[in-house]
Amino acid sequence: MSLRAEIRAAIDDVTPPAPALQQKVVAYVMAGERDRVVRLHRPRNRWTRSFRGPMTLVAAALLVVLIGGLVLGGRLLRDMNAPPQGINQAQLKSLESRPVHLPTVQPGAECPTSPLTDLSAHGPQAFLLGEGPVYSTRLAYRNETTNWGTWYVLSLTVDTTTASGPILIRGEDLQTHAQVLFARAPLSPGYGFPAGTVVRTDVLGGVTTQLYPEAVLDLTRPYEGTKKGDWPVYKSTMGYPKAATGCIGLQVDGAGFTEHLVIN
Amino acid sequence: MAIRPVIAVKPVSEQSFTDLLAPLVPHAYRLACAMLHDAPAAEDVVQEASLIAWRKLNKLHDHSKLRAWFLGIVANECRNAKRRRWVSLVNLGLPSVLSVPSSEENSVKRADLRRALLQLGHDDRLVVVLYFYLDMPLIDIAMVVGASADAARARLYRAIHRLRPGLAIEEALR
Repeated sequence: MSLRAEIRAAIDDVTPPAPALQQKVVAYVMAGERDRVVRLHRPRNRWTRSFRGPMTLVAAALLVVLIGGLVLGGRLLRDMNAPPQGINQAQLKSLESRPVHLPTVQPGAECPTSPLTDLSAHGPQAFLLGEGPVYSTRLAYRNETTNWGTWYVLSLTVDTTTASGPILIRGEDLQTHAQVLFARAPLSPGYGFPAGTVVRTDVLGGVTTQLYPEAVLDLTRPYEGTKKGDWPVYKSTMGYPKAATGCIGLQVDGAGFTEHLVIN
Repeated sequence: MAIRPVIAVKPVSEQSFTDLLAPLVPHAYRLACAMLHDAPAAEDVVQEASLIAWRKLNKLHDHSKLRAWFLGIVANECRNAKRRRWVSLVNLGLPSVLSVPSSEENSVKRADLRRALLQLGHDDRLVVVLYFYLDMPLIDIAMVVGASADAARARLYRAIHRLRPGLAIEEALR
């Protein structure tokens, strides 16, 4: 069989007879504009055609919204991941270079929590753990328990009359030496900014979250619930693994001081 | 300010259309089927192309070129329909290929050939269809595709080579 015959046979398979087409086309072409829409061959054209204009506008609007969302989302993500502008990176490096020296608590021994200080003149909490310039509440408010461990909101009050610049928080369980980790709390001003290299991830509130070995307090951005005139409060999402005992030691490094806080 | 009508010109009468363009509708339909492999879509294309041709008919001064000119419009509408192909695929499902009874082997061969035709570019497929299916001479094919006869011939040879790499051109053109 010649190529011509093959091609004809192949195309004839998909070319069914259309005896009425000539008349339909004449009627279609000679119809008025309004009738012509009705006379189109396939019903799908009747309704899709009337929607083409509006749907094009809708599609264009959706595209604009999508692009805008991507731009805003990208900015938001960048802002969330960028280090706080109020933190001097050189100062932070200097604080990070300080070694962590926390005491060890023998298994079964009592947790040597930091002494309580009366701060009723500087904030809503009457007594907080520590001797300053950074004070902590007890870990009373359990935020979430995950497969990895237990998460709390660490609430620190800072005497800003004596402390300035960034403050670095690092910690561990004093009996097991399991590292305390910090997670970002998105869109929450006043929360400690997680720093250092990502150690692992955990699922917090249904969201896979990166965990860091450090938190940095940006003293220029206190917790939004801080009342005017009070010493500013800074919060951090802090967790420790299941194997830990909950006797947590925190080393707080700031300009001109290193403080150890023990909380449980 | 004058209001422009939706349909700018109606230069020819129904009789003119019936006399001039209607006889070409079967050719247009065969071309559209060959290009699209989808009969309902081909009918749509012929209708739209006929309307376009009728509106522009007064611009065609040499009526001896009517067939090539009209088929050129059909080919262009086929290209546009191809761009909207995803709609057809969603709405139509399988084409009517399977409704034609034939031996299984021949049916498979023809399906392979159709697939090969569809894999050609629009212009390559067009010259193959015009030459082999509508039996048009190269000079008319050149008018449809808007190229010189030499360019149309070169395109035809190239398309044949893609369809049948081992086949000599002289044998293929028989």
